[in-house]
Amino acid sequence: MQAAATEPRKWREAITFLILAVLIWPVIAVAFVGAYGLAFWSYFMLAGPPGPH
Amino acid sequence: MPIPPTGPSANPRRGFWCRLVGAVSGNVWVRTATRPAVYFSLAFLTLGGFIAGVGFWGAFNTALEAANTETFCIGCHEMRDNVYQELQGTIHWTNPAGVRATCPDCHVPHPWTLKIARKMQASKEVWGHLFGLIDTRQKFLDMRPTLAQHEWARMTANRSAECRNCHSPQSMDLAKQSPEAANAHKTQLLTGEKTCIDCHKGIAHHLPEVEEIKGFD
Repeated sequence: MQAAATEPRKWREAITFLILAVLIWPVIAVAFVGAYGLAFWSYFMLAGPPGPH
Repeated sequence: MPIPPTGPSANPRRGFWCRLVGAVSGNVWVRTATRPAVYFSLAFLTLGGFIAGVGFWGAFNTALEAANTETFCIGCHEMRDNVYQELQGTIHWTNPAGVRATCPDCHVPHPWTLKIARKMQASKEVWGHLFGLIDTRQKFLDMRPTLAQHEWARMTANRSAECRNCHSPQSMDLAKQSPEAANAHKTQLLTGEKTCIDCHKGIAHHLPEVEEIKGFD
């Protein structure tokens, strides 16, 4: 009985999936790449500009 | 049907963080997102994630490419009215071969990590634009020595990597260069003693109008 009460509706599950797939994960991915770039920029500010690669 | 007590009102005597976590984890959307799917198969969910991932990857690279064009660079008047005007008339703007260098060719590193780091560094330029740090010609001229030295330091450190995306010492026909140039390239470039930027400063934009500049000899 209790499980049925907390079970999500189908439309809610579908919308949750869409929000995660097209909004939350992309935002996290962009934030992750941004943090990656920021980390390197900060490192270059301390260690000087990057050398030959 | 009895619904388990959740949310901030469940127990007002608990601490703030305890109640916050309770409120978040009790939220119906959060519960839906953090529990196994009831209605959709794993095949459908992975397919959906796969399609969304392909779309994201394409959009991300398209945006990155769009932010790496000259049109984007001269979208701000600081670039359009100063450095872009100066580029016109130089050998990197018009030349017999009709090959052009655009802003990002020289000013944005091509390796991915360095490119992303440069894009984040551009947040400083957005700041400068928003607060009008070089919004007049005079402010730009005053700032030019600093800006030029940033680029010179960067290009000195990476041994003129951006120049070398097009120019290769090995492909230089020294016989077609002036005797002075051929000699300089032979004794200093080919020996690895110096790289492009050490001698070729101010070839695409005007030099700062000051006599003593650190790093320029």
